[in-house]
Amino acid sequence: MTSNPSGPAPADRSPLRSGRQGDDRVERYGTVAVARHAKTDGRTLILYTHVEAATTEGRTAAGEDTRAEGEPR
Amino acid sequence: VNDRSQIAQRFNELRAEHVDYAVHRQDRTFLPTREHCPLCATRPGAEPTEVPFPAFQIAVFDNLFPAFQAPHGAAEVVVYTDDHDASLGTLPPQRAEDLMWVWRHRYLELGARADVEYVLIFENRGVEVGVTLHHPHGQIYGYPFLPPVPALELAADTRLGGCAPCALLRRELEDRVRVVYENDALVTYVPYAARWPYEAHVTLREHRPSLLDCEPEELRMLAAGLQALVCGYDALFDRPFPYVMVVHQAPAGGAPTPSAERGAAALTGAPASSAQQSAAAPTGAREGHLHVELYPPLRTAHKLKYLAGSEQGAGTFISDTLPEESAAALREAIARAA
Repeated sequence: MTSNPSGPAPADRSPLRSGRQGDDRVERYGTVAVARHAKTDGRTLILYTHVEAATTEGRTAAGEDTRAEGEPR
Repeated sequence: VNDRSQIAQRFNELRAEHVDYAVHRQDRTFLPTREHCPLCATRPGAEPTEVPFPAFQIAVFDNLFPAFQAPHGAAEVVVYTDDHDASLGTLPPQRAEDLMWVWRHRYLELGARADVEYVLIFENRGVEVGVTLHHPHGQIYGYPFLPPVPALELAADTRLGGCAPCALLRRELEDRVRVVYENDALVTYVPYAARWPYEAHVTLREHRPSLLDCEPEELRMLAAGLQALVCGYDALFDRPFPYVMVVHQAPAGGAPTPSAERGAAALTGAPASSAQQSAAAPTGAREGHLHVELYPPLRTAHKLKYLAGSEQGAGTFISDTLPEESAAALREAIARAA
């Protein structure tokens, strides 16, 4: 098997806010918030910022699984 | 050569390997002064740097001088911090853990691209290994082909009849003499047949093909293990220790995962269950085993190990040091730096 990382599934992303100009979206992944920006030359810039413990998608910012037994993983 | 990107691959028949031509990289920024560092945050009123914000934590962007670019791969820069004088070893532990999640996120996204066959996360530290920017950062290449070294590792799985890193880890844990650091998630050792005097491999205890397969706690401990090692390196000769650090993991493939559950689990940070992994893995398939290899060029505080006639012409490393003796010194240095 190779690790075949799948493309992002909408349900697995957590739009938090649309912040400063140029932000496409902000999402959360593990312990970081992910903010995408378009640079003036067209290249992509992604800023990752630590997120304090806050539950999203059944998982805390520290990566702890908070979903109840029986919930889909 | 591609007119737009000036990037092309040619195949070297004698070595059976690709050579990448990215001639525009000849003009890349070379050891700028601190005031002109393109990886620092942008100072108010000054020309924008690569990160046009007054502060940031971790930044990732497409390399301005890429060795690979879409639709034939990718080249990204990962800036660890806006502190110009920091290093992987001096990052706060939480930032180092965040970096593991960033690596994982980039592996996930780049690996999903059809034009990326292998995602290589690496850091070059020190002018001795060709660094052109001192600001703490790493890079990620998305190769449009499977490079020779990962291919050799997969071949080793076949030769040994199972996961080679798992087998090597078992041997190191039996011998013990080359182990320099351990925590609950990983073991760091100078390999039995190290090519570099202070080469070290950081290997996950559990069979994890990639960062996507790791438990969150394993990512935290991976960060801790890497920081312990590089701090030990700096303590070894009481100087910033140059190295090349490379994350080895499963090829990406670029195809949709055979298990939607597994992909969803990866996105939310949950490791795939054994049952999911088994379901996704054909019997006898080769997949790799996440480990991080570090190749420091120093053989003493002021002497470099060069790749000379035997290494370049014959492919055989000649080493001036025994791995067991290097491990003893490195183990003591890691303890001293802790």
